[in-house]
Amino acid sequence: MSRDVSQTEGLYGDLNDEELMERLGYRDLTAFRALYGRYGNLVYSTVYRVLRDAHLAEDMVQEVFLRLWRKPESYTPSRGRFATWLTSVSRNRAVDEVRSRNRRYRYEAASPEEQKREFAGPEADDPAMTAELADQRRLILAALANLPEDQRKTIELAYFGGYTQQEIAEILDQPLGTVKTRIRLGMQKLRAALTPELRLERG
Amino acid sequence: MDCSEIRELLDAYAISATSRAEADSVERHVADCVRCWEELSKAQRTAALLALSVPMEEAPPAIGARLMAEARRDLAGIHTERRAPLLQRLRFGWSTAAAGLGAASVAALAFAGFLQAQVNDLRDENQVLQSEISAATVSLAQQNQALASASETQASLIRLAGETTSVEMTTSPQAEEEVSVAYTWSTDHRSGVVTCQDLADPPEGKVYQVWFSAGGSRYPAASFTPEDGSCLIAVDVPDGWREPTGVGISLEDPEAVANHPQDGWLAYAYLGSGY
Repeated sequence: MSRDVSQTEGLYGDLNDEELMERLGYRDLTAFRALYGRYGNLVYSTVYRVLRDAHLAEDMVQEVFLRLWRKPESYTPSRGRFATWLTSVSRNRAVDEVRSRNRRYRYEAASPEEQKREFAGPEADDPAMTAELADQRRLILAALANLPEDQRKTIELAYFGGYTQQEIAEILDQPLGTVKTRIRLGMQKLRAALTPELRLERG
Repeated sequence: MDCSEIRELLDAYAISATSRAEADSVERHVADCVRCWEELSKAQRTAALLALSVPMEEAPPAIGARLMAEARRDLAGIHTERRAPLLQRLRFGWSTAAAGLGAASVAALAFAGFLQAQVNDLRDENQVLQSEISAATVSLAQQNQALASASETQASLIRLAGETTSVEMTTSPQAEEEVSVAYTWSTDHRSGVVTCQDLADPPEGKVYQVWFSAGGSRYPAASFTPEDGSCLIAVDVPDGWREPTGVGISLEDPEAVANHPQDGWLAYAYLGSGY
């Protein structure tokens, strides 16, 4: 029963995400281990970014991956690329959690350092990440960096903070219409900048 | 709301920034409007990419260990289900446990094998399951003491405590309706156990005989009389013998030497020819 972990990961390292997911359908524990190895840090970072609490984040990572293990059919390639789907599902779950607990981190309470660093700096990468994913990440960070500060901040408050437009208007002390415009303009710029990436996302 | 009003909301909806009422409007609208639905898909794909922008943190190593332990437990659940029929049969059958075998030790031996399999499963997840392993290992050590005095016949029962396959035998019309006879065998097909429930006592001067069929002929494997309708009979396929394609039970005169069932089968199961 004992396994040489490095060896099996070597074998499974050649499989792409979709192939690993297919194996999960056959209850392949090694495939599960390989997927966690690939995306554990990314999912943790995503939910931690929303929840801002290490314990809550741990529980949520566990929940997300166990769900993946128990219901691998919840992912189909038509939902886009696996990594994007998984992180997006994780973010959605974390936002639901934050909202249901009404435990939002107070934007005002975040340190100026944190406020500046809502999105990642280009230096921060995960060694477990595939080169392809790391490239994709860099493109997204660059697209975000090119947004006007107020648009970026507004999108970030909604996407990671779990705030509605109305709440953001209150937090930033801006008219609701301004917040709506910032979100629309910001998202459209992102979409334009990420068009090549979005083509890859089509199933 | 018309399409242009809905379009205004799609980006905000994709990053879940709309109010509940606005979200409802969007959902109702796109259910009937393909063009807006396509626009929403684009907005959602853009939004999904944003999750990749987070600063990277390192997940605490304990999460991985816990997850693997949890997943392994799921798998163990499946295996336990597969093993359960034999263990259940042992429970009803162990009181008779074939003449000469200590009933408790038979159950203990089967359980020892079961524990061994569990320990193997668990060993992988040392970090989280260390305490469970040590508890199971203590029990295993106790079971192994019983195992040390096992006879060769008992050994076949131990082999059966791992992966097994079970088949319910078809009973003949002359058998009582509620009779249930099953054969459970090991993956190497060399040992098995016949279990029965509600099997009537044999008529005076007769015993039940277990037979294997192989290559068109039959060979006797064991004879027995049930106790309170139950039986648990370990049978081994002797070395050098072909693996059986069927297993059956008949009533025989223990004094007579027969090489085939004298009055036909009382219960029979076809085991397949793919051995």
